[in-house]
Amino acid sequence: MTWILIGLAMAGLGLGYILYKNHIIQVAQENTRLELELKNVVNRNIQLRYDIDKLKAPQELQRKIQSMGLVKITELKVYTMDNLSGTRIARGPLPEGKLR
Amino acid sequence: MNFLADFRGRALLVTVGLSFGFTLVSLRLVQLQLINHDKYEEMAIENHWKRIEMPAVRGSILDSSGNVLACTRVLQEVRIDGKVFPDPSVNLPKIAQILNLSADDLAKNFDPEKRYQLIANDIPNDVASQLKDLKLSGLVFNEKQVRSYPNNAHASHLIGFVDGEQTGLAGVEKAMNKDLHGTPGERWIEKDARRREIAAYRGKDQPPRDGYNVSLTIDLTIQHIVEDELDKLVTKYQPSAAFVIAMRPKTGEILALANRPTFDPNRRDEMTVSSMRNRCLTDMFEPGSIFKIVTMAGAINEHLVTLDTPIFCENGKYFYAGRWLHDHEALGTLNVEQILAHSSNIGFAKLGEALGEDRLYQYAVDFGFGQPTGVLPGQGESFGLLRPPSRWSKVSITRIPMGQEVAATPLQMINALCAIANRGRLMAPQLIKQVSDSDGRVVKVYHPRVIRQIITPETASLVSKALVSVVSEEGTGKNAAIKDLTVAGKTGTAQKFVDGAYSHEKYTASFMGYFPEEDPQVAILVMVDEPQGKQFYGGEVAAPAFSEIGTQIAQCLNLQPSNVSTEPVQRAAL
Repeated sequence: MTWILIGLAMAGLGLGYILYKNHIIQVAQENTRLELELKNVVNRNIQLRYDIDKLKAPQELQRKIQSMGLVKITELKVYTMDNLSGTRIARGPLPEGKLR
Repeated sequence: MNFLADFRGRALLVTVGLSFGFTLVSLRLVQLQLINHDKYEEMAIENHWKRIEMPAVRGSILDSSGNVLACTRVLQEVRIDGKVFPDPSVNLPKIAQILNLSADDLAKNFDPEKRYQLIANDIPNDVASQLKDLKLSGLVFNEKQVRSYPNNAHASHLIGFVDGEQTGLAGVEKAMNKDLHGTPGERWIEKDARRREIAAYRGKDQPPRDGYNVSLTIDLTIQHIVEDELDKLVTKYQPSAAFVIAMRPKTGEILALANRPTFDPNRRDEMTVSSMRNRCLTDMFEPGSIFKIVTMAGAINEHLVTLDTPIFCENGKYFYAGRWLHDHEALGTLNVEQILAHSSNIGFAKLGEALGEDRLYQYAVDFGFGQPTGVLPGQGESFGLLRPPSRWSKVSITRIPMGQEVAATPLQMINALCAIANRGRLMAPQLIKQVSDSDGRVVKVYHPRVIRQIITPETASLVSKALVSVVSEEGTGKNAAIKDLTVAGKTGTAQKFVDGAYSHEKYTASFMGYFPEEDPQVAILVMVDEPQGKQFYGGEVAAPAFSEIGTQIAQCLNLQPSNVSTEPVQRAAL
């Protein structure tokens, strides 16, 4: 009887070992898959950030401004108000034919 | 025969044979496991284990506001193994469609006998994913890092570029390579019989440390203003070269620096050696009249003259040491402020004589002439040319005060002017602002560095006042004026020294100045080398560009107007 119990315990331990080993392998594979996925997401993120930087580049913005017929900020008249004295100071040319 | 027939004899023979066999096997085992142990262990490890190097991503270069000037992207390279690629007539058009290539060209270049034919370089990961989804054998993907510059040619001479191994070769990429590069990581994996990783048996796993980000003092918006105006200048005057530098006089920070000719670091195949040179640092020019500020500062600082001291300008012709010296117009007696406003060579020759050789030389050294600024070490920065008085000729004392017989880089020139704007203190030009890691934590901070106090603040104020008169209606630099701001500056028109004589056809036109004079925020140098056409004076060629650039920078930095009426607006009574 004792030997039967010892045998069953050994078999249980062996089975448990195999099950947990299998679980470890599955988790490791899942981990590897997720690592790869994360890497792809990071790379895609870098690419998207680069695309944003390209779109934010001053040359690109200037091209857009020209294509949309807008006025550059440097061509607008800028007013600075002094709250204490009520002074109004204007600076910068106003392009002809453009509404303020 | 009897022996073999005998049972005991046969048994002995078998025993001896077996013993001999076992001995041979044992010897072989000794050879394999003891004598050649290392060799076979290595082979076994090589069969099962593989070391994978995980490259570090090179850090980005940013401007002072965090805009990206240079960054690293991970792109894919696609190759086809012709020997295993299935059904080319069906699959090649599918690949061509995803890659946006001509199916006919792809089919024409495809060779079924050739292995690993390159079909696309530098494709983004999403395009590579679409190709992978086709699940075709024979399609091979290689990941590689590519350095990209989103602003193309803007500030390219400062940013520099890298080689195929991502090592900096020029500019900040080279100077800060150690910080930008990072440390690669490594991973040991165990492979199965099909050479796939057994994930559960992963060995050493050391992640890479990405390179640090380097922030510059450059302001991308100001850089764009400068590049834009420089393009207009080049279109108008077709010079052999042109430069603009914008600096903060109080700190020595370089806000923008642009050269023409220039290059786009994204297009390595189109780059030429001459366009890659950062001439603001490597090339030296005779400064011409803009050197006069050094002579004037020295003479006032030594209490030899004040701004009101009268000097006779010899009506345009001055004979000294057997040589004639001319002014561009016949001038009589002018005070020191006026000789600067009119840029009288004779007036400054006399100031130089009063100052003397040794003191003039010492002031030139103190203003930074004859020594590199060290802004980008080890990249061919020129020392300029400033000979000691022992090597001066008899006429040198009348020529050096007006900027002949000396040579300086554009950066040395504007840095000397910044010392006047900064109340006599010379700052080291600064390009690197800080270094931070990929999470934004600051690792190193670079502070402005004072080199020396050259002249007293009072002297600097007097020189500054005189420089304002240069940009007045009577001055040579009137075209450099900026509406509503007080500008201090100096024009320069240097004849180029060609074949042992000063040329009457080749000039370097320049203007450098700062504003607002009461509290200088920005100093700008505009230099045009060999402008074509009838105009060649600094006041005609460089000064208008200075005004254009200055106006836009003033708006960009929201500088308050300094010389406008501040009368309150009258409200009409209702």
